[in-house]
Amino acid sequence: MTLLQFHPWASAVEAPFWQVLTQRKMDIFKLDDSPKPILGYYSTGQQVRIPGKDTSVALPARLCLGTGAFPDDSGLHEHPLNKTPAFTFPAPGVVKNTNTIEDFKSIDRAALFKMVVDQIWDDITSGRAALDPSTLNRFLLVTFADLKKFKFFYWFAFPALQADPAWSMDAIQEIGAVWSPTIVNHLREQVDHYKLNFGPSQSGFFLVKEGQEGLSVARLQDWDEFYVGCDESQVIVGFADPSSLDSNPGWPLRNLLALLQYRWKVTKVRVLCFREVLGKQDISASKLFIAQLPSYIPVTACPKAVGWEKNAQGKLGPRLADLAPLMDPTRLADTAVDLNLKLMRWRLLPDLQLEKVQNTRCLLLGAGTLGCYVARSLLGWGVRNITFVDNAKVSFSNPVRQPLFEFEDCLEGGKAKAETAAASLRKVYPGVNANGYSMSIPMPGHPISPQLVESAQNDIARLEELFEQHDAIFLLMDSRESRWLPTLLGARMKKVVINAALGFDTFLVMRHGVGQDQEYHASNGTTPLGCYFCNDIVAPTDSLSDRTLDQQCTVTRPGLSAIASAMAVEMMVSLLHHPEGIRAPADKADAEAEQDAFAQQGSALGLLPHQIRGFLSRFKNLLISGQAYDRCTACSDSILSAYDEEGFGFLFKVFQDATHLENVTGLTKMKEESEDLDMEWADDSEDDM
Amino acid sequence: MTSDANAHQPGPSARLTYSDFEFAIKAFLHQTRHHTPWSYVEYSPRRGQPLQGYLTLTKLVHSHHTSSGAPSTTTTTTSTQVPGAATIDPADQLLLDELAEQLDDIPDGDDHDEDNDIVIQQSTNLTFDYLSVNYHIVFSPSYQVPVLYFNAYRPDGTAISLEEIYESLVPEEWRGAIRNSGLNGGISQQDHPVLNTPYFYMHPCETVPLMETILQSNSNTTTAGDGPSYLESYIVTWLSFTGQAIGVSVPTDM
Repeated sequence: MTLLQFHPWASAVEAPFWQVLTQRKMDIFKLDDSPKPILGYYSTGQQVRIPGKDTSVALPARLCLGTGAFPDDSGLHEHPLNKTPAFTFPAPGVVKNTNTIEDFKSIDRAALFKMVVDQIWDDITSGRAALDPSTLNRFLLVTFADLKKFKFFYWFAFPALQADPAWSMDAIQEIGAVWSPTIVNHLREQVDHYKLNFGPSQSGFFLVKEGQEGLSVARLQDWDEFYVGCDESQVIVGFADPSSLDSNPGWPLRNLLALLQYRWKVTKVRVLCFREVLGKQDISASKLFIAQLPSYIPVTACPKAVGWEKNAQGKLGPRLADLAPLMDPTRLADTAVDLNLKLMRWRLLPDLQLEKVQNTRCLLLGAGTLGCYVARSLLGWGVRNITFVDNAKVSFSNPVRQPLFEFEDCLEGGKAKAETAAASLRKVYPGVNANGYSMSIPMPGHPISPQLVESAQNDIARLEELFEQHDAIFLLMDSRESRWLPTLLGARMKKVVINAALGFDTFLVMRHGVGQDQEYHASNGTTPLGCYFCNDIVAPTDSLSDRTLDQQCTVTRPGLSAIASAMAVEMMVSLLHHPEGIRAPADKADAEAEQDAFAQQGSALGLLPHQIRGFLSRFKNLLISGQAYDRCTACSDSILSAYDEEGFGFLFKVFQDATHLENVTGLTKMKEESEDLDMEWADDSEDDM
Repeated sequence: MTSDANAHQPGPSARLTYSDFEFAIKAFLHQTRHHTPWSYVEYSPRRGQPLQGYLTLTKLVHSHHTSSGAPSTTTTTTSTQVPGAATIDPADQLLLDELAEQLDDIPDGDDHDEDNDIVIQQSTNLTFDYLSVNYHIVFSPSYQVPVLYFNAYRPDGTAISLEEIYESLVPEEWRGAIRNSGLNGGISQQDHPVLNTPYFYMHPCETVPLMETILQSNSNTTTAGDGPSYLESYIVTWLSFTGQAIGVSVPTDM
């Protein structure tokens, strides 16, 4: 005889249980944190195969809570979807869900446990347990549901009455070693009939008797008639055993033995650990042994009990289930958006680097028509970090053309465009990290008055900081000169710069090169691509003052902006897929390439041009490229050096007078030289006369 | 194609109407009643419309992941979370540890020390690294075929990621093929048509060509007058192809 050792319960909660608990708390319980009845279930011990090997390993004894755990409105568990699954046995319990984490921390653990133990003991002493033995499985669940974060702290207790002195067992035997296959099969059929006849409350615990015609099965409550004329050795008590260990029965046996001891003064009994392979009509894993107490000691008071579930560390403490991915709507939106993009990759373009695109931090200079459409397209690609810079307020003509604004944004002088655009993006997709900054970008030829110098310096410092914090910059402003400073910074910091500009019915979308970039191009024998200003021999200057009203507003065909913005975003994404990145050479569409756009392209998405010039009147796009100009007023070496050496001092001179740029780049000198040539001609021609 | 079309068609069709599907799954349910515990679940697709049904099965499988991401062993792991759970927020972990310490001090009439002799928590042949997998066979009105939906959960109810699905459910020899299926199938994810929560599924675009091939070769070998028997074996045939990539199969003696 050895000490009878039991295999304890391991809790197994299904996701729907948490969902229903959440719903009940919000709709029904509200602040009522009194214990509520729930129904768990368990099956007999199971094994699971180790993939790739031929062996199986035992699963722990699982007490499960599923969809049907809470009673429906009528208080029953009779709704078809609420029934416990086939081949399982019921375990009634209570859940106490606290309202705050502090309540959870300060629950009277002892009192709650005692409440359940008292109930079990009361069932045993009153006879109720014999009538409904499923009550021997009573359990307790304490939870705290954090409904904002969809996190559930939980702790199970499975009270088992302690026997003192403890039970012992003799050697455990397989059912096949005790009874012939015919008898075993007959027993299985008897148990099936029994379950069918008497229902779930009786199914987990039953009596077995050996007779002439084989084994017969009866309910616990029928003990007296069933065993009339039998002696102790003929009594076999069976229970659905959730354990699948070779030598140890499961937890339900503890309270069952307590019942047998109290009610029928049992001190020695044969135990049948009933173990069925789910749905396969196979009970060969069942076990038999004799359980025995050293002597009969009448139990008068409620015995001590144990049974708080240990956490995975083996210590007594609660567990945590984080269901945000399944329940938090923001997370669900994340999953859906992500999935949509992944479908592109799974179905069509396996080389799509979605994460790279999503993690590209985008800075949008300008939150007007271009800014709004660009932001929306970026969202469609799953870009997570979008920042707007704009110094204006939403005006009444904006919402119809700028899809991130609404009528209400125009009232009371109008909200700040940058911040409002960011807020609007967040409404579309809460998972985006969208920010807006209202600030001005100083421009060449727009002198700064002395009292505003400091704030200009701050704006520039801010702009430089934003450049550092982002990977791709979109120039989406409404004037030529405002693009100068960002172009310089972009070339200096070697950022992806996508420039979009609109005419009435024409547009330009281009990616900036990185200035002359001598080192790279010298060693590769390639030519650098230009920026927005590389084709100019005059400095960008004040184009905004002294204009009539119609010249000041950029009037364009309404559809143009959406087209140009979408092209700008797709160009950026294509660039991100090009192995050379910002130094990618310009692809042009020629007759051959037209045949097969994927033939000689460096990007997985197709051609990567330098510039796209669109002509809406003809519905035609041209792919053009331009070289970097060594006297460019924005990206040439002389300008970048001047900025490096003098910093704000250089910039200030440019803002005060744009021709400073022409001096620095040598354009002034060049013009003087060509004028000299002219004069010489003029002189010559005079002489000839 | 009307709903009566199949009834008048001369031969078996890979595409099913909903009533074909319901017949087929009920037949399958009957065929597997002694092997695998599939269940039939009813639901109302739209108010006032007759109830429709789908099949569900819950299976326990060995998980390849422990909480630390290391290959699983058969003993318990060393963190406060359920074995195989996702990484826990450090703030939450702190709270859990705090609670464990706090509550340990409170006397609770719980003489667990004495009881430890009697409790066998672990065993070399016991594993806590398992997943509960739900399989659903649901009808797709747009593809007109059954679709296999599935999700896998840890013992605390949390769902696992696609990566873990590959590790734990897809047999190794299948992983490359499934991942690269592109246009031809593979594991995808969408809202379950009845439950409206995210579920993984085996994409059905491969099903029709596959079933057509099989039905074709079957009809070459069976005698005429077999009638709707192809519906009776439809699910068995379909599941034996679709399910093996994802850990659910049909018993070989069927």
